[in-house]
Amino acid sequence: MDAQSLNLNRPPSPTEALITITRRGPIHAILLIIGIVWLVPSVGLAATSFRTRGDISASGWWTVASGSRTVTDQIWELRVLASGESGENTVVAGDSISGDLLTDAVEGLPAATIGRVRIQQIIGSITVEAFEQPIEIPGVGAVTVQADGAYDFAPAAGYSGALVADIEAATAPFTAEFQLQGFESIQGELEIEEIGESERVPRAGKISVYDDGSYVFEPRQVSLAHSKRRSTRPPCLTRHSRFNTRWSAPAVPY
Amino acid sequence: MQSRRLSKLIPWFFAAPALIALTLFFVYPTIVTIFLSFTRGTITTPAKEYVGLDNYRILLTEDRFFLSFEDGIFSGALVNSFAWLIIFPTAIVLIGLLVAVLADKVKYEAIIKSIMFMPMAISATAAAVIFRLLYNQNPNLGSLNAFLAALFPNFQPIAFLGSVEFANMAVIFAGVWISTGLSVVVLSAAYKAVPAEIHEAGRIDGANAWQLFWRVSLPMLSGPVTFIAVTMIINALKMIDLVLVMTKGAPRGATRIIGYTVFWETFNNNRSGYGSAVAVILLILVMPFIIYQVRRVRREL
Repeated sequence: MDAQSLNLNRPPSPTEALITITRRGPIHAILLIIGIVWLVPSVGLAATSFRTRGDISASGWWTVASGSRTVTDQIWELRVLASGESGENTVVAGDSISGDLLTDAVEGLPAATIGRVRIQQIIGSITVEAFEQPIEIPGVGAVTVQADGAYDFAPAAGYSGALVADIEAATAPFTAEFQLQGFESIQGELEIEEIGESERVPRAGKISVYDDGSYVFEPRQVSLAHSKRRSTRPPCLTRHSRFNTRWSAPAVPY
Repeated sequence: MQSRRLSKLIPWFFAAPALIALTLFFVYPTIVTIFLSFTRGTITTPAKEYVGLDNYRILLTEDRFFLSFEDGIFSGALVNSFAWLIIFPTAIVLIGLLVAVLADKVKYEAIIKSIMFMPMAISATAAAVIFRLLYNQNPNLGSLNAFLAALFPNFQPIAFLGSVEFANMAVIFAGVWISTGLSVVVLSAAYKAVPAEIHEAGRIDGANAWQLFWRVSLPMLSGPVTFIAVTMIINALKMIDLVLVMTKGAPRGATRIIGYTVFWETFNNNRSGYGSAVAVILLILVMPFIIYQVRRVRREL
């Protein structure tokens, strides 16, 4: 019996190592995939924690390494929107939009031109009291519902979006749920006086510009307030910024 | 005679602090909540009016955000909670078992377990913020959409938190991401505690790796697995923080769950009686699991 065959602790030969690895390949693959899936959010949080507020909502955290910013992309998106189309390529929803409002925010401090505001998809409810009577939604337009469930939407001036509803024929009054998708034109100049301060843009939302030229725009949220306290008023659109959306569900008969 | 009566009283004296605290902070609020669920009122003036079982009737038959049966499909908070109840513990136990067993065979076990455990150190609110960013529909911001867009050329970005089909699953996965760490650590420890001799005996009897796992390891792990499953079932039922930060129950109530409905009806819609009724339903649903857990723990002690 030679010494080598007894030595159980000898390092495996390359061939043996290869066999072990390929046999254990699935184990490593599964662990690797789970590990990556579990690690990505934490890494994202860590990378995001080092970024400015403007950067966070302007580009993805994984672009940190390349140092690129996608502000120009966002401006390009704005130009698409500004042409008045509402095709599929224009619907890019995020929680807050950065950079799709100012045409030249990076260079143009302190004044910048406001372009077009997109109203994000909003789902609300509206009470149809009677058929074939236009229901005004301030700033958006008027809906006329027919008894068979068909409806007409006449957008208000400056609103070029769509209203989508799934109305089943019913007897009035009833409550229908609908979605607003669209854009609202806003033209004007905005004076930015202080870096880092947020500025209210009339009818549009709130904008904050940071010293590195990045900016965050929080569009005003149009929502159907249906709060208990004002239940005497008919449902109407009220203004809210995205971060304190207060659209509440239509109250259950109570 | 006197001393015997005294000796009977002494245990009560020692138990009094705990009893008083429990009564004040657990028993009393529970009773008040049950009482409130039969009334109608607001936060500031609860119990304005006695309405009997009206709150429950409305909840179960008229509130389409709680339970509805439209077009042959059940939906609402109760159904969403049921999805949590099934998917959340199952995923946590399965991934936990998988990692515990597989990591035992590799050299980087400590690293993979640390990665899995890391989310336990992150608060649910912070995790919710990460996942909101991750699920963002804009592929420039949302990693998941960016990843899918890189993988499939003609990919249309999905609003994971904005579409009725995906939202609940998306929030559940965020929950799984947070909670699996505990499962991995507990199950891994339990797996290592299985005596090597038993495995050896199995191997000598000719069992393969698969049979060893199903017939030897898993039965030995049934205690910890049940513990994790029951804990996670209770967590799933009373979940609120993730939903509150990630979706607020949107879209169209697709992520509303019971725990969140308690908060929403009581504080946002200012209907204390109605919210209490939801809380009582939650209590009824959680009770069997808690009783089971307590019994099991008592048996093991």
